[in-house]
Amino acid sequence: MQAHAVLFRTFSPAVYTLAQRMLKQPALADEILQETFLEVLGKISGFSGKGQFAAWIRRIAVNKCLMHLRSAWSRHGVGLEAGETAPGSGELADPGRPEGFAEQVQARLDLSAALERLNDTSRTVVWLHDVEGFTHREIGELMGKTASFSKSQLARAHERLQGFLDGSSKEDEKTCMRVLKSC
Amino acid sequence: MHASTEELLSLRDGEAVAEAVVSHVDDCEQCQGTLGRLSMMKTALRSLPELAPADDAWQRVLARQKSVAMPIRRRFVPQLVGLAASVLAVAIVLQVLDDPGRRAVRGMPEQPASNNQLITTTAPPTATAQPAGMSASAAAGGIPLATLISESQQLERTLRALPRGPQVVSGGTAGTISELQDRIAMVDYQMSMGQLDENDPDVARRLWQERIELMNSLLAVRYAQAQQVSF
Repeated sequence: MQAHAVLFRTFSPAVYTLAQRMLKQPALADEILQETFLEVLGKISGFSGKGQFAAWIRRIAVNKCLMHLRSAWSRHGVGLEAGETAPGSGELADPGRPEGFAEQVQARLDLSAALERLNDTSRTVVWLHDVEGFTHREIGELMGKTASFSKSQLARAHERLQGFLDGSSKEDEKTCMRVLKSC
Repeated sequence: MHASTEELLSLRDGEAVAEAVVSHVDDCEQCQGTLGRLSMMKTALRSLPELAPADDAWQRVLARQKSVAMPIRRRFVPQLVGLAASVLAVAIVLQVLDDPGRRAVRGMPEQPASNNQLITTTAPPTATAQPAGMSASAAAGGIPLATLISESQQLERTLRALPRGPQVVSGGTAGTISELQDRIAMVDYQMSMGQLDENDPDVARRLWQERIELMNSLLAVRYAQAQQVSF
């Protein structure tokens, strides 16, 4: 069992991150994490050894996330903790960081927020392709669509992400102007 | 005309792009700027911090693993035993019909066809209808030892006839199969260690009866497994 614990410690952050990026909600990400490792532990003796172990675990997690996104509950329901994600927020207050660090963290927060504003399909495609390294063909297969579908979704996702980020920059500028005028 | 986002993304990712698009981007500052932003976006997405699961996440996985394994035995096995018992009954009836003289040759009393379903008596109350040949006294130990041994042999033959299990089995199923096999081995061990008291046939009957029950359960799980594979 100790080996399993080591396995969990090694791979759980990647699985949890993937799940939270795809599903947005920590509670759901936690559920996917548990289900993924239950399956991994149950099937580990049957792992063929073909391909990387990490890729095998990741694929299980992706399938579970997609299954969740496809479920009627997900389509019609609203999560319990929507909008709760705030990765890396605790690092802002660190005074020992180099100059510009706060801006970097803010940029990450903006990007995380923009990512969460994408619809499920666009968010999933952009995360699987740009971060997890899935090919368009693989994404198409996972989603029951074509590679072309994945390509067009990725393009749309990037256009929207850029739009959201530009929008947030403009919002920031407006806020700054309001603050300056009030002084 | 500028390159589309899709074309620029293909260019960014080193995928095949029309020659005309490539030469346009080479000469177009606006497209180059967009391409640069798309590359930066990918880098930024990849550099988003990894998120850490809750500290007790592993403990909860372990707890769920245990709770998943338990209900399989408690809830499903009795139903599966019933299912397997029915299948087994059909198999035995077919075998008896195929070889009606078998029992007589082996010196066992001829029984009506309905009594040949005695094998299902090992199923729990949730199983299919109680066979006509089974009485409470029989269940309590009235069954001849030879019948029990024959029944056990029949179960072994049926188990061997089942297709091999899948290479990938859920933890719960694997655990159930393993536990049943261990318990059967324990009964065999008790028998082989001479714990069968020649003067007390009830002990022998009890062990053989227990062995049959365990094998019925094993057959039920293996049968369910085989069904899943066939689907």
